[in-house]
Amino acid sequence: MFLHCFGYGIKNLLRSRDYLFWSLGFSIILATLFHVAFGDLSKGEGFIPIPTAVVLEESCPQPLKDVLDTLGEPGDGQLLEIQYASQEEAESLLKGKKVSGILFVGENVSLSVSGDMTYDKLNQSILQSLAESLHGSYEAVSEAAARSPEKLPQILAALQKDAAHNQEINYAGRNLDEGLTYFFNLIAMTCLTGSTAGAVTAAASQANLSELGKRKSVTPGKKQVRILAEVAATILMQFFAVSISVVYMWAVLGVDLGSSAGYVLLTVLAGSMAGVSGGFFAGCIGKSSIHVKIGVLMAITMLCSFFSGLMVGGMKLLVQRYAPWFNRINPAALISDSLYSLAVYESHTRFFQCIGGLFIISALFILAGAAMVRRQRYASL
Amino acid sequence: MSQPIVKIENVVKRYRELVALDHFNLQIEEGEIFGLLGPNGSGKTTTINCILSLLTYDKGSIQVFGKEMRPDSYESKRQIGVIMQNVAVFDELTVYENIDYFCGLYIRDKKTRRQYVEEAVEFVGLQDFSRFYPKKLSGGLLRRLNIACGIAHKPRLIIMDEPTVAVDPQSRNKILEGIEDLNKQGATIIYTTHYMEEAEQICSRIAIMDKGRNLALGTKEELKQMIKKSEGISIEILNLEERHIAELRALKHVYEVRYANHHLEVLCSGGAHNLSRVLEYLQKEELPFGRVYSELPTLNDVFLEITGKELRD
Repeated sequence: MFLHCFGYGIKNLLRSRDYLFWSLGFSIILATLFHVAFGDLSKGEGFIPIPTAVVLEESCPQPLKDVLDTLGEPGDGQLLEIQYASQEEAESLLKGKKVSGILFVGENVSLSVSGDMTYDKLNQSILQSLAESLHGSYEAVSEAAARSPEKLPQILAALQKDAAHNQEINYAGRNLDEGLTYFFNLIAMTCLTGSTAGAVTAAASQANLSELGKRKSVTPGKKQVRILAEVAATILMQFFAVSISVVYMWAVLGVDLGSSAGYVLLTVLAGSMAGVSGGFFAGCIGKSSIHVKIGVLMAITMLCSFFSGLMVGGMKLLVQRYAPWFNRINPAALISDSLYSLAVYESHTRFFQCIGGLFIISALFILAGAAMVRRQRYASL
Repeated sequence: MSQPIVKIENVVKRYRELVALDHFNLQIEEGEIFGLLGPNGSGKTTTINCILSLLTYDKGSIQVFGKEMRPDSYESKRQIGVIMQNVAVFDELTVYENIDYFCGLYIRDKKTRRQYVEEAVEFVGLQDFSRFYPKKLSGGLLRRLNIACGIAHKPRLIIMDEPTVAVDPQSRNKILEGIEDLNKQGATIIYTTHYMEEAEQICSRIAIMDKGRNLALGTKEELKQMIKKSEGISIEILNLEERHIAELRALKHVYEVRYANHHLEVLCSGGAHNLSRVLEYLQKEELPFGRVYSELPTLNDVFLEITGKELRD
């Protein structure tokens, strides 16, 4: 029964013009418009070191200072263009837009950036990631030192030599054209449009929501198996639709999505799962008509995309400053951040964190939805 | 005596304050075309949904094929075909694919399934439309597809919930003929309708429902014998005095005489030759009259007499 329902689920979606438009056509049209708006992305610049003011506090441990010096060393791997300064001088440099941010390095590592969120946001984002990374590493060293103070010199020496430490904050030197983030967000939005198909799948499976659901509910065989097959078919179709859009962006529009095609497809799969499962969950709640649910889901998709920066470039950073937890549960932000991590970082730590988040969100939605549709008899239809 | 194919005992179903089924009892025997007749809102669809275990009920029990019906009664469900009141098919699948999809939920063997689907397509007369999408079908053809989806797996019990609503007369006749054919092939059929003509035409037994209660049960002849009226005579007549009306009322077997708008209506209970007696009286009184109709009681008369309202009120 699984294969029977799965096969017909695919066939059904393949012929649905509405579905194909929203999952494929719409994203291709938008991508083309973005391409026209942002120009030829293939002519992107190489990585330019980020002008950064560093305020060294007395408590700054030498290993951290050494790491900063390494990051500021001229050459291919140069990440920062460091100006050591007092706090007043640094603030003056930031005010005059001579630097992208100020790193305060002492017992803690903190970052200060311009209040104008539309200013130099890509560099600010990189600096924020760098500050978090340095701070995290320092905390780990402090904790280790507290447990075994006699070993502190060796630990610090090890940190200084630890190449892995710098890999996390080493950037791939790839094209960091700001327009690329709009394409990442577009891919995220396209993944999430699968929520409408997820909602339709849920509605078509329940006797209290549709005539089709009623007819299916009187057939023999386990309801969960049938629903699982239909949700799996919807996820697969969404994955294919978004993958086609991604291939179009890469092959036709020349959008540089990095060299890790497998990871990009993994992101598309995780994103499609999150979108479809979110829609499936919403489709299982309440008895509102499917049209109302689709309307609400489209609104949520656009809202998530807005907060991840589809319409306003600096939005994700703004959210990161005032409500960082939202970026960790917003699937659009997680999808675009995964793609961003692939394009920017050599390390895949952040990428897998985002992908993990997406899989967790998907699993929660599917489990919650499945728990709701377990019900097989209704008080009213 | 064989056990009933469906046995409903003392079922009560409430929608908050509204009692949809009020201590409802019913037994349906194998091989019947059983009609559930009642106006809209009388509880027919609720009965069907309770039989299919789609709805919870507050009291009573329902057995199908001698076993209590539950949502996981897969063996029983395998032998049931359902045709819902509203068309339930996929718009993006063709006629053939729709039937194949639903048949596939019952029949695993592909070869058998192909054979069953082709037979179902032929049975409902959709051979020329098997590659059509539902949107391209007329209302009548769509209803036939809806039926094919419910019967393709050759069920032993077929439940049809008002399958002819909003169907043109030609398709309706085709559907009714099809139901009789299915019954001849051995299927037991539960047929809900508010069209008394349909119930009279095809049902071997009928239950009349109203407000969730089973008001009367029997063959159409048995139901008609339950009421006082055995013949209704209508005559167009220009002038009639009160004296004539009183004298007509005094004729043998006549129990009601009404006259309004030059239209005389005489209701008789039992007996024979009622029409000739009335006409003889009119000729004797030299009263000129126009068209004459004589009607035997209908199920609507039965419903009217039992509930005091028309079936389609």
